[in-house]
Order: sequence, then structure tokens, then C-alpha cells
Amino acid sequence: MPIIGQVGFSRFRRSVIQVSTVTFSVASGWSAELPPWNSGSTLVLAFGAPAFVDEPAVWKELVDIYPDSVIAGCSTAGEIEGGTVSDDSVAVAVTRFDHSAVRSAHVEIESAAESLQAGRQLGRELLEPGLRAVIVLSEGLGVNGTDLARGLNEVLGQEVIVTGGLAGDGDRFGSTWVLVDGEPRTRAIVAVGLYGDAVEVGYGFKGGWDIFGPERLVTRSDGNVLYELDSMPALDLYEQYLGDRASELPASGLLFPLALRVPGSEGQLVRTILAVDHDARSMTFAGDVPEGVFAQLMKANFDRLIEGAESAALAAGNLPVGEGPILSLAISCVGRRLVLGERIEEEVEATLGALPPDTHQVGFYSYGELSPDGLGSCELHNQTMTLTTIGERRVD
Amino acid sequence: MIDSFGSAEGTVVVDARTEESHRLLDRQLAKRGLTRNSPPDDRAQWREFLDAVARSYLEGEQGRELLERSLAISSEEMQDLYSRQRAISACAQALLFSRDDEAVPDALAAVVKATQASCGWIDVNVETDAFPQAYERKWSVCGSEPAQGEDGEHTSRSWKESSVDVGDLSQGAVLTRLVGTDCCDGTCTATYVPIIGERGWTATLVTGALGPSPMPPGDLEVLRVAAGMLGSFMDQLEANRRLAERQAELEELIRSKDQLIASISHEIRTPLTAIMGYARLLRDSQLSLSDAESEAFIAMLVDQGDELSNIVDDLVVAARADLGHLEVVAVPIHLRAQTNQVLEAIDPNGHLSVRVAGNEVAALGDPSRVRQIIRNLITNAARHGGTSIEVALHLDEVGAHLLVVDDGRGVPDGHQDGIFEAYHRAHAVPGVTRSLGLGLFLSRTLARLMSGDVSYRRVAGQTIFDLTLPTTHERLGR
Repeated sequence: MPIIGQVGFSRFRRSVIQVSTVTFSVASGWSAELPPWNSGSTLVLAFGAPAFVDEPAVWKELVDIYPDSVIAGCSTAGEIEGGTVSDDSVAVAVTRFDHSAVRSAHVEIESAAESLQAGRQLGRELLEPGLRAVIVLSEGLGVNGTDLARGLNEVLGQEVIVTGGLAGDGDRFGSTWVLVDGEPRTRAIVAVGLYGDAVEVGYGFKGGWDIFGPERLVTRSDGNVLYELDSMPALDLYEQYLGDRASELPASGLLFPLALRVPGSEGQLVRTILAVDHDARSMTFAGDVPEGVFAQLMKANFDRLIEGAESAALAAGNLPVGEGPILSLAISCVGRRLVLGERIEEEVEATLGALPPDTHQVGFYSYGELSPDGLGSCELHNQTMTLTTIGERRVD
Repeated sequence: MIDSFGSAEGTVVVDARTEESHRLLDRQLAKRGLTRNSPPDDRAQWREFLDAVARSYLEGEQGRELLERSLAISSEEMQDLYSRQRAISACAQALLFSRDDEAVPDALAAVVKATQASCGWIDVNVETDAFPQAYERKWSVCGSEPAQGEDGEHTSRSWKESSVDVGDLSQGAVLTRLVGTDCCDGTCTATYVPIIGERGWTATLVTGALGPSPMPPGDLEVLRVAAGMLGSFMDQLEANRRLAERQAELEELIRSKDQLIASISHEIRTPLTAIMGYARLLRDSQLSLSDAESEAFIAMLVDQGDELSNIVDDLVVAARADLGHLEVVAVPIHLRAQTNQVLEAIDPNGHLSVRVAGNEVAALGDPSRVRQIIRNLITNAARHGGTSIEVALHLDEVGAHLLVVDDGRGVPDGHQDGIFEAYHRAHAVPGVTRSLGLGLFLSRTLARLMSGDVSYRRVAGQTIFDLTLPTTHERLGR
């Protein structure tokens, strides 16, 4: 613990959070030396390309260097470090808190039906006095993100900030993994709790997609599986719109996310596609698509996507931190990655540019984002850039 | 600043002062440690750079194509939506501002025009039960014109002969069938959409489209909305019809009451005039009248007083029946004795020549009400029947019967169902005093209150009013 001023006089002690980000690739190794900050209050977040599930040496190295720290992470559809996006790397952020505590909990789920219970269990395990925020990294395919968020909300309420995302598998939608205590595991959900009065957490999310075309009624669905819109197979609609690119489903379905609106309300929720079933003519989304709601297709607008990312950063970066570095956890949707293509780095540059100068950014492209809504309850979002900023207030 | 880029083919000159760089290009260069003024040294790096630029072009092209495609599809969908909205609006406008069913063909034409249908019709159920047996084709259009030979033909057609499941329709299901049409010269795909209102399934909106293709979902939505509007419209028409009926009933009631007051005035005035006349005669001519004349006049006074009393009795009983306050007692009575008592009262001199046949019959009833019934039936026969009147008594398994039989012409055709209704007068015979039209109504009402009945029939040229009452053999025996 760094001490400024005379030893023995607590009024001169100042809390200083330490943050560092590094990347690893098989070809180049580590981009910089991993900082020797192992402690009980160190958080190591690591986001890796899906293939790193078969690279145990990397994870062993992390565990060896940070044996007492909380190590969590997940597979991605693109790793974010600073203002760059990569597809074959591991992006790591090491954060040592000076006056805050870190704890983690995890659960394993066999099917999406267990998501609600998983959320409750994680909430109960982390709920202790001083809990300020929870970062959730979840299995990306076999989970119902809506239920997971609901379970966490039931236990944690609106006072605890809950953010996070669903793991990715590039544009393949085959298998994802979650890093639990430094070990990649499938069908797992890990949650990290941040405790203490000193820790400051900000959040923001923004889409930037435009709705277009007619609203359609969800006439048949089951949880997050959508069968029919306006009594017609939902998959038919997507195939019609995608034309030749329908062969790239489910990935190409990300080009047209669905905006959901409950009849009588104005607000919309966005849902992104996870899988298709050609036999059942159905589509699986990252969250619930209830019968009776209206669905409207969305399309990308490059400039608005990037402006959206910047807006999210401006909201999340509004922390009363004062001096000291900030960790920016950027979790963005794989759909944005697909649409922005070669321009993808514009959005991570935009977020970094909108945050204070001493901000260290790490994150990943996900299959779903978790962040509080306007009322403070955690919700699953899709197609958004979701930012969580973490700093630590100075304690004199 | 002017830089040169050396290559095998020669030198390319780049003027960085006049060309603005795209930030994506700058990023592609920066990722490879290049700038616009420091091109790559080796071919591999150059190829990698070109690949990245080519990907950007390809992504841009794919994005543009997808955007154009999606906008074209979406534009078409919005146009369809707009057409349907206009059709629904036209349908609503036709129905909203109409008070009769003349608007229905216009609404039907709007629906046909907005969908892929070439013709349409509305089949109205003959019965409004859950599973009606038949329907009438009340309106039909072919294109935007009324179909030839259909409108106005309100012939019932059997649902059984159609291939449509009325159970499904009554539950609100939309059905599709291949049918032959009268107007489109061939087979078409008919879509049946039930019209369901307050009375349940009352009619069906059917549209026909040439060929075997089912109606697209958007068109189905138009049909559903139109069927909903037609249902509300038909409910409104039905409500208007009931209101008109009720108004007519009220007007008829007012007329009946006027006539009733006129009848009561007449009925009361007749005996009252006689009473007043005889009374004045007795007062003014008391000394010059013989005893026999005086007795005759007094007897007349009593008769007319009785007549007046009977009229008032009937009116009181009718009023109580209207209010539901009519009560009777049930005691053993002898019908012959009751008949004689009535005859003595209404015909003490035997002018009516009423013959009483049959043995004494015991029954259970309220004596004064039974006498009121007998009096009404005999008075009715004397007033409207033939010259021969007979009261016949007998018992059977149904009960105790008192038949008032006359050889008159009976109740005219068309009035037989109504003779037991209040204030109903079937006869209007010149020279015969008009009655109140209460006698038979009261007789039946009273008889039914005593668990009996009064019925009418014609047998062998004779008019028979049959008073039936419960028997009391055992009770009388005890």
C-alpha cells in the first residue's frame, strides 16, 4: 500500500488506485511486463480470443503472478485494449485498489432456464455491507440475460451498480467460456464485487441504431426464442431482408437487431440474435422476446454508432475521482463489430477520447451487455457500447 | 509539401497539402507504422495494407447494398401498410357516418380493393345461436361494384352444404377454403372472417381471391379490422332496430291506453247512462208509475250497477296483475254451483238461454275469481258468439273442465294467438257493444294463478273456451 507523508500519521495516508493494461498474443507474447501488484485487493480482468481456451500457459502465468488476486474474464468476439481491437489476443487489465475490497463468486448453469436462479445465487454470495458494484461476466449462448439480470436485481436492488456482459465466440456463435479464478470454463457465470466507500463506479450505455420499417407484432415466442412476427416465421423476414447474406446467419442477423416496444409505452429495448433454427424457422435472441410486444427492425448508422459510444463514455466518465487513474471497462456488442468492420476502432477511440486522460481501457465485444437502466436496475442490453468506469476516491 | 514514392514503374508524387485524408486510411497506415508520407518498404507490408483497404471498400459496398435492399423492402412494406390504412379508413368512414346498412357495400368494396381479393360478400346468419344452421348472402361486391344477381337475394343457404366449420367460425377462427364463385367465373380462395358482435357470431365477411394462394398476413389484418368494424356497425344497427321497435311499442301502448280510456269511458258510460236515466225517471215520475214499472226500473238499475261493478272489478284485477300483486286462494268449489251463481247474477231473467250440462264437478280454486272467469266467458260468448250457449262440465285426467260452447263464427283468423293478451279485441261487430279486451286476458291470468288454464278451440263448427282447474275429489270426499 503506497503511503504518502509521514508513516504513522493516517491523516497523511492517501489512497491511490493503480491500473495497468497489457496484451498477449501467441506471436508477440506480452506487450509489456505484467505489473507486480498481487494483493487481496487486486482485480485482474482478462478477455481472450475463444481459441485461448486451449492455451493454459497464459492462464497459469496469470495465476502464478496474481495468486491472491481476483482473476476473472471471458471469451470475446474481439478484444479491446486502449484504442485498438484485436481478434487473436488476450487483453488484460490489472487494478490494485488501495482502500477498497474485491471478491468474486461464480455459478455453473446447464441451461438458459437456470439463469434467474443463477442471478439470485450470485447476488446472495456477494451481498455484504459495503458492496458498491458488481461486474458480471457470463456464458454467452446458453443463458437468458434478461433472467440473469432479474435475478441479480431481486437480491441486490437498485443501490448496487451491476454491469457486465455475455461472453463471445467471434461471429461463430458456437461456444464461449468464462474465466473463473484464472481457469477458462464453459457454462459458467462469474461476478466480481467491489466494496468500500472509496470505490467510485460510473456507467453508461448507448446504441446509436436507427429503427426503420413497420412495427410487427410478436405473435409466437417462447422466452428468448422468437417464432413468428405478424403470424409469419421470423426467420423468413430476416432472410428476405438479408438476401444473399442470409447464408451468413446467425452472424448477419446482427445487421438488423430488433427493437422491442411494449404496447402503450414509448421506450424500446434492443435484442440481438444469437442463433437460428432453420427447421423450426425460429431465432434465438440474447434476451426475452415476449408475445404481444411490437418489434421493429433496426439498421446501422455509422456516425450515430460512434457518437453513441462517445455518449456512453461521457456518461460513465462523470466520476468524482479527482486525481488517480481510471479503469474503463468497455463492453460492446458483436453486432457493432460486424457493422463497423474495419472502422471498429473508431468507437473505442471515441470512448477513450471522451474519458479523462489517465484512463486505461480494456474490454471485449460481447453477445449481450449488462448495465443499469434509468431507474438503477440492471438490464440486458443489446447492440450497445456499455462502459463501466472504476476509480478510487482519495482518502486522507 | 510534395513527397515522392519510388516504385519499379516510376515515381508517384503525393501532394499532401491539397488532399484531405480519410481517418480510416490514416488508421490503416498507422497500424502498420506508416504515414501518407512514408510508404511501405516491402511488398508484404504493401499487400497487407492493400488487403485492409480492399476490405474497407468491400464492407462499404456490402453495407450500401444491404442498406439499399433493406430500404427498398421496407419502403414496399410501408406502402402496403399505407394502402391498408387507407382501406381501413375508407371502411370506417363508410360505416361511421351511416345510420343504415346502405353503407355496408361501400365498406366491403374498400376492403376488397385494399387486399388481393377480387370479390367479397357478407353472409348473415339466419339464427343467432352459437351454431346457426343457415345464412343469407346480404351484400356482395365484385371489384368495386355490387355483384350481379346477388344483392337483394335473401335466400337462406345451409351451412351444412358449405365446407366451412361453423364451430371454428363461431370461436373467431379465420378459415380459408377453395370455393366456386358466382361472379369471378371460376374457383377462388375464399377467406372467411367471422363478424362477432355483442350477440356473438352473427355474420361472416368472406373475400375471394383468384388462385389457390392464401391471403397474405397484412391483408388478413385488414379483414380482421374490417370484420371488427362491421361487427360494431351491425351491433349499432341492431340497437337502432330495437330502439325503433321499442319506440313503436311505446307508441302502440300510448294508442292502446288512449283507446282503453275511450273504451272505459264508453263501457262505464253505457250502464251509467242507463242508471242515471232510470233514476231520473223514478224521481220525476214516481207518482205516475205503476208498481210493476217501478220494480222493472229498479231491476234495471241493479243490473246496470252490477255491470258497472263487474267492469271496475276487471280493471282492478288487471291493474293488480300488471303490478304482480294479484293473489288467489285455493279452496274446494263446485263448478256447477258457481255457474248458477253467475247466471243468476248476470241473467236473472234467463234472457241469455244458457244451458248448463253435465254433473256437478268439484275443483280447487278461489270462488270469487272462478266466478269472474265464468262470467267473462259467458259474457264473451253472449257478446261475440252465436245464439246457442252451453256450459258443459266434466272431469278427465287433466283436471276439472268448464267449457263455454257457442255456435258462433269463432275468433277470426289472425287473432287466435292474441285473444288472451290484454286489451286485445278481435271482434269489431257493428251493433255490438265494444268491450275492454280484458276478459280473456284476466280469465287466463286468474286460471293460471290457480294452477289451471283457459284455452280456445273450434270443434265441429263450435267455439269452445275451456276453463281447466285442479280437481279436489279426495279433499271434497273427506
